[in-house]
Amino acid sequence: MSKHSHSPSYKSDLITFAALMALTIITIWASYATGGTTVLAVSVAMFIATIKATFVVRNFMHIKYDHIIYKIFIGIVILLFLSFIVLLGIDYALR
Amino acid sequence: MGYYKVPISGHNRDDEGSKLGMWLFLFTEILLFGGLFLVYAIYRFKYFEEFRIIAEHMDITLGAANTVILITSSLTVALSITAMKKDQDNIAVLLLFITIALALAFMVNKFFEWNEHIHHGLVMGADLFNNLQHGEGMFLFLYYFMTGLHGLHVVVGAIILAIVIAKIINGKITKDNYTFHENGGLYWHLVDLIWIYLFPLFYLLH
Repeated sequence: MSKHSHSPSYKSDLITFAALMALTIITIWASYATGGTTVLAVSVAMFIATIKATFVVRNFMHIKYDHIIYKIFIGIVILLFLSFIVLLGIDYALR
Repeated sequence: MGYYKVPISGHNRDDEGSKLGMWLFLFTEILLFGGLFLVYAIYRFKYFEEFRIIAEHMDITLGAANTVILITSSLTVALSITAMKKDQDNIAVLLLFITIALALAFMVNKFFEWNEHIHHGLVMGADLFNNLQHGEGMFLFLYYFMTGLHGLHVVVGAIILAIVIAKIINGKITKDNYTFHENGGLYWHLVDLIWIYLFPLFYLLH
């Protein structure tokens, strides 16, 4: 949008890139450190993936500069998906 | 009531509206893949051990290489939008060409990867596949379906970015009118976003 209040800079894109690369290395390392398929390994992998996703959405997709309505929409989509996961977990646990 | 005057020249534009439309489309994409991630979660719970065994056939190096490729391509798209905002058209076009080259590299990697699996008989119909446990077959089915659907998005994304390049060259995307460029970038970042989850789920957890 031409209404952006921030001035565009290559630097912030490069910093985000560096963070994503570092997290990729960390997640590969963590998968060995946590021993692959334990519940811990799955949780750690998903946690790191979510940090990476947050970087992409906030910085690359410019959500941090966008109108609040986008943040609300994204929040609702995340809640919707998490509620599916939680319901699935409850169903699995009670079977 | 204010008096609304119709602009006399050019088309009416609603940059914010078109970006919101793009985001709504991206939400449907997220829920499409979200449904598949739920299916994955169900079978991962159900066939925990079988998923672990079959996942050992996945090539972490190729998966990591593709992760690096996609993150780099996300960077080049973001940089191209920054360049467009700074009125540096040539740099923007160059960066978009690099992005499309990276998309191609991703698909070439994918080709070699799938080729290897098919060669080893890890594909529906092959003898080895028919003798696998049910959970192992389920993992491979989800692997082909989800990474295949993602690969299709990579191809579509590359085509959209090619259209962005054409529009920049034709002067239809400019420093003051780059919403199409931004929306193309949003689509490309979504492709990266989905891979961020596919990579650990299919390659790392074994």
